[in-house]
Amino acid sequence: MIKLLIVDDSNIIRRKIERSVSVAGLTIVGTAANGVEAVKMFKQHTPDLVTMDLTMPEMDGLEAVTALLALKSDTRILVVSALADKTTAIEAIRRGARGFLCKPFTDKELNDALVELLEFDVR
Amino acid sequence: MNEQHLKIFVDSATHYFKHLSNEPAAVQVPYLIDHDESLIYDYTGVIGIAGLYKGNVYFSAPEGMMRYLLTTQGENKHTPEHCLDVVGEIANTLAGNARRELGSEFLISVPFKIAGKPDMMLLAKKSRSYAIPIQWRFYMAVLVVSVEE
Amino acid sequence: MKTSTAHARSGLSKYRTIVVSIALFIVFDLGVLVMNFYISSQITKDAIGVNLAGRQRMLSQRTAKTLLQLQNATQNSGDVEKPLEELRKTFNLFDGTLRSFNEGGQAVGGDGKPVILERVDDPAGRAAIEKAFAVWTPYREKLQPVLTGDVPARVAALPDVVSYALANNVQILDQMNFLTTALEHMASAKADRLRLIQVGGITLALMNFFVILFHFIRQLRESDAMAEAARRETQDILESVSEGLMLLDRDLKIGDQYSRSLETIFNRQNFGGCSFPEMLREVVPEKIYKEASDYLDILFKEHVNIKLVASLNPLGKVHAYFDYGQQSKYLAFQFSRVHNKDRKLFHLLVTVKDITAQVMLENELEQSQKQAEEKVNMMLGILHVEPPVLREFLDRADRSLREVNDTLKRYGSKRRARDDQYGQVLQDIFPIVHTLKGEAALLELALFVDKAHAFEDTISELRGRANVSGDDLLSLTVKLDKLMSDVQAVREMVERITSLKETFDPAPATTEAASVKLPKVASVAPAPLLASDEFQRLAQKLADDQGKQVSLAAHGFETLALVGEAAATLRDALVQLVRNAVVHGIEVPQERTRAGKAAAGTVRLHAKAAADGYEIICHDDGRGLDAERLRAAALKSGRWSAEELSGWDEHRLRGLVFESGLSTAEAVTTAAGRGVGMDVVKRKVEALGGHLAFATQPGHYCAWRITLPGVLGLDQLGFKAA
Repeated sequence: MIKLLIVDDSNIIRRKIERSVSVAGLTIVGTAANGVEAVKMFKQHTPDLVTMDLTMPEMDGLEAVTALLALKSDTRILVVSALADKTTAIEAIRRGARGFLCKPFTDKELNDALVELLEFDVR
Repeated sequence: MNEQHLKIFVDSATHYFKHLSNEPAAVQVPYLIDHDESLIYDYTGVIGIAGLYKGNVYFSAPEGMMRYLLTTQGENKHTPEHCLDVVGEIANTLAGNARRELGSEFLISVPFKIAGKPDMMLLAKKSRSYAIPIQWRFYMAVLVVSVEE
Repeated sequence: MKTSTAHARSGLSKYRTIVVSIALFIVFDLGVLVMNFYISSQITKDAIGVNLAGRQRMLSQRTAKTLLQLQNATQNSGDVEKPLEELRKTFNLFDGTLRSFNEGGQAVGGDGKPVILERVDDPAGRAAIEKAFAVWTPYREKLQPVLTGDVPARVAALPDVVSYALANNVQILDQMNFLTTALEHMASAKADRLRLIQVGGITLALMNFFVILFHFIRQLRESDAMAEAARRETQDILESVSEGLMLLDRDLKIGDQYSRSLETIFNRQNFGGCSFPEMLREVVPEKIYKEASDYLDILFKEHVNIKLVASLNPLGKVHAYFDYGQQSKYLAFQFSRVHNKDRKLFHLLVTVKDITAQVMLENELEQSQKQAEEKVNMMLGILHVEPPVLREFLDRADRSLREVNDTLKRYGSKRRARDDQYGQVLQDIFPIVHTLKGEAALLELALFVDKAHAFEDTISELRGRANVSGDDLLSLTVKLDKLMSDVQAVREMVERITSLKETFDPAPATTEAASVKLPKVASVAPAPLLASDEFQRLAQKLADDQGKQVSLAAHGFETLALVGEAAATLRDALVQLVRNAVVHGIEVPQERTRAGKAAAGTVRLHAKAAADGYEIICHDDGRGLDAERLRAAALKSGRWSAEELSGWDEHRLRGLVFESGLSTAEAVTTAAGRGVGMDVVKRKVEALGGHLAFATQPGHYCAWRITLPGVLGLDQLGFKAA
């Protein structure tokens, strides 16, 4: 079982991701509305995959990426954000996130990105 | 070309004078000229613009102004080459500022300088060009912004 | 993929051959070495044998010699012990050595140390030993009493031994000679064999070496040919592919192999070793370059999934400029990773496509769509106006705008003489723009009304400023440019509409309506100065905008027809009067009802012949001109102090309506409020040689009278009594 954590301050986006995810073997273990919650949920569930929003109150996405990777360095993080945050997105990727999904996204785009993230081999 | 764009060129031209001579240049009433009107003084520095807009921006000044400027800089030689150097430097300033301020929207060419009447067309054919007279001391020069979409 | 695995397999077989060849080489060499070692040890042993066999010859002779010495000593009563001792030693040495040759075993070597002798198996050697024994065994028996017996026994045995020795000594010597020769033969045979083995081994090793050499050369040739084929294949692809292809290393340097198209796309050559970002920097705006640098940075991070960051690519579609901006292209860059065999390192494969044609097409489509939309809107905005009227308006607008520009030019080419020069420019151009706005409003050309209004806004704003400088006027010039462009665009459209109309309606002047309503501009037939419905529309629109109700009645205009400039000027003045009446005069319905008046206000326009010309009256039943409001407005303008104004009587205050830049309207709208108007009207009327006067009663009415002399070339038109 592969565990997924959803981090986004928007209730609507969280619900959309929850509804849309249909990747075999992937289970959503939790959702978080900010970085602090994300760290808490992460410690509780140690997910393999994380979808990460960038602009959030109480520890933003950048800090959250750093914090989660400090907890478990091989966590696969997908930044989910608007193209307007391009610079921040690139910074998040520089810090260790593995990919980027542009908001708004379709169900297919989300699932394709998650599969790509799962199958991607660093070595 | 909107007002902000024009202002960048105007400001960098006036700033040049103020910086060099401590004596500010005054912008006179700007107006429009058609492509068949000729507005050129003795020495002219031109920068080319490409991108969203295409065309030229040039600064043209009478010889007297260039000579005076040379004198204020303690330069006693007033050959045409010296005058061209001055107008070239003004064009460089224009290009430099434009690249910094407008670099993301336009591509600004390396400036070139002309003595006397140019052989080439400097004014955009499709639209009117902006003539912005600039007075420094008792000399009148002009900044012409001539671009079309 | 296929070629690479084939390559790998052939590589493996290549290694196997090498390994086998080298193993064989080692085996051969080792074999030769071992044999060499073995045989040379044999030869050493044989040499000892030969040596000792030779010694036997000497010992046999010494035995005989010592025996003779012993006999001699015994007969002459000499010293017996010394030869006896010598005989014993010699006997033991010969006997032991002969036994060792016979059975194998220990013997005493030349240096007195024990050595091992092998049993001699060589037939010739054997025969010699056996023959030697046959002679030696009796010899030995006879010697025993001499060696071990007491003196008498020795003396008794001695003559027999000596005679035996003399008889057989040569025989023993011969046999020992044979043995020596046999052993020598054996040793030399072994040496020959060793030489043979060495030669054989070396020959084999040499052959092996040649096999390896040959094999290697062939394999090298083959792999060279294969590499060459692969290289040529790659080269062919790179030469012919339409995309620009290049490889970037971690330092973002371009590899030596890249596709020919890259040169075409970038208008340059020799990319190998160049920095990709620097190359980019020359052709794209700084901002894009910076974004691209950041993006390239993350592409080289191993944890990043390159497919999942494609949407961040700032070079997906980029406008690039070449030759100092003389040429521009749209380029699309794509990036992918190319791993080497162990997957640890990778290069970035960059694919560049020139998508200019595609983008141009898209842009054109978009542009034409946008233009079509703009045109439709513009068209809708002008359709209600007849083309000739519109054309006339456009001509006037054109003239007005040029006049504005000429004014700017006039001031612009002057050195600054006075500080208020800019104020003067503004004052000069304002009425021109204001009039243009009025005319546009009259024709309900919203497009121009709005633009002219914005222009006025800017002028007013600048007039209100304490310090105006030349560059503050830039925005005016920009607006002027835009207005000129609009006039041009509408003119082109009118031409199109007209030609369209002519196509569908080749004889426009045949209908009566057309002849009345659509006079050609250049026609000598006088057009009505104003169709009254035009005024009505204007009044209605102004009233609607202000939430007022109004009815306009016009008399005497049906035949008041003017041509040329005079008509336009008079019309401008009338438009301004009507505007003034509705905006400033007529109150909102509530206010009118409170004052006991009808909710709807009335404006009357009356044209009539007068004694020395004609006069036109514009009357409204609104609030009239309030001297106090004028006083307040004058105070607000800052041009006069409160003290100054307090001394003014009503008449003087009312005179303020002709002052430029005063307004009593609370807010600036397109209709009124700029404080221009009556001064303009007055100037226009005076330009026609006429006179403007007014009468008012606050709360009841305001009436304006234009008196025009009959010497304007208009007298033939006359006035009909209403």
